Amino acid sequence: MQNTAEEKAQQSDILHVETSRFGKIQITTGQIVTLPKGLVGFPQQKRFVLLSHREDSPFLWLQSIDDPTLAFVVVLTAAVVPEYQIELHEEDKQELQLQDEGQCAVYGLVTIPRQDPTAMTINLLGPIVINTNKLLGKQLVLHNCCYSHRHPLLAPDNGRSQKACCRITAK
Amino acid sequence: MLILARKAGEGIQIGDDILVQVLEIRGRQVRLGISAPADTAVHRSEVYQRIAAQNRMAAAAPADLQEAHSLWLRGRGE
Repeated sequence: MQNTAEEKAQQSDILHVETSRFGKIQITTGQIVTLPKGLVGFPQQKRFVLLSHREDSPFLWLQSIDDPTLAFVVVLTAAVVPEYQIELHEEDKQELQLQDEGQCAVYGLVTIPRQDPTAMTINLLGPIVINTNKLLGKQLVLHNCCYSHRHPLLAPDNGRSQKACCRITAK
Repeated sequence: MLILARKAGEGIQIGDDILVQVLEIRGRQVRLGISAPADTAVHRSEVYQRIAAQNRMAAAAPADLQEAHSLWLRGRGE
């Protein structure tokens, strides 16, 4: 009987998600990243899953679970600008149930122009912070930040010319 | 849109827990003080709109990331 219960629990953990890009994918409920407020301009879609493009690639898909057609490309901000830092307010930490800043991963949404992928950019003004333990996320809107919402992804001097201007501080 | 004339030092109460005060008017610039509950996000509207517009553009990603991935590797000299 115990085995059956376990099997049932495992089965209920598995979720089949319809996506327009990848067809029907199978994930577990433990992979769901919840953004309680959604993304700026997309408040309705709150549940996502992160899918790697390839193992050796910095690009990931942030695929909506509730809207098959909605998927964003994200990259860890540190992969582009190693010294990138953000300011996390106490409210943000509470919202993310973040006790330790080491628990969080910071992603930037990537815009890839279809006509010219070389001009792709990463949004460093509205980063997505994810509590990697609780899988809770939020898109921040940074104030007084010198980073751009269209930071070139392929600039040769990325990470060298820019100095960190935003620090993680508790307020 | 509701339009109200206010002088420096005066304010606008929105609901029970949001207060917008005109702190100072200097030339073409107005300084506002906003008191709102911690869970109410307050943003400069142009920054918020810029991020919303960028999110919409980001949502129109190509179907395949292989080209972007190759460009990235080339940029790293790999």
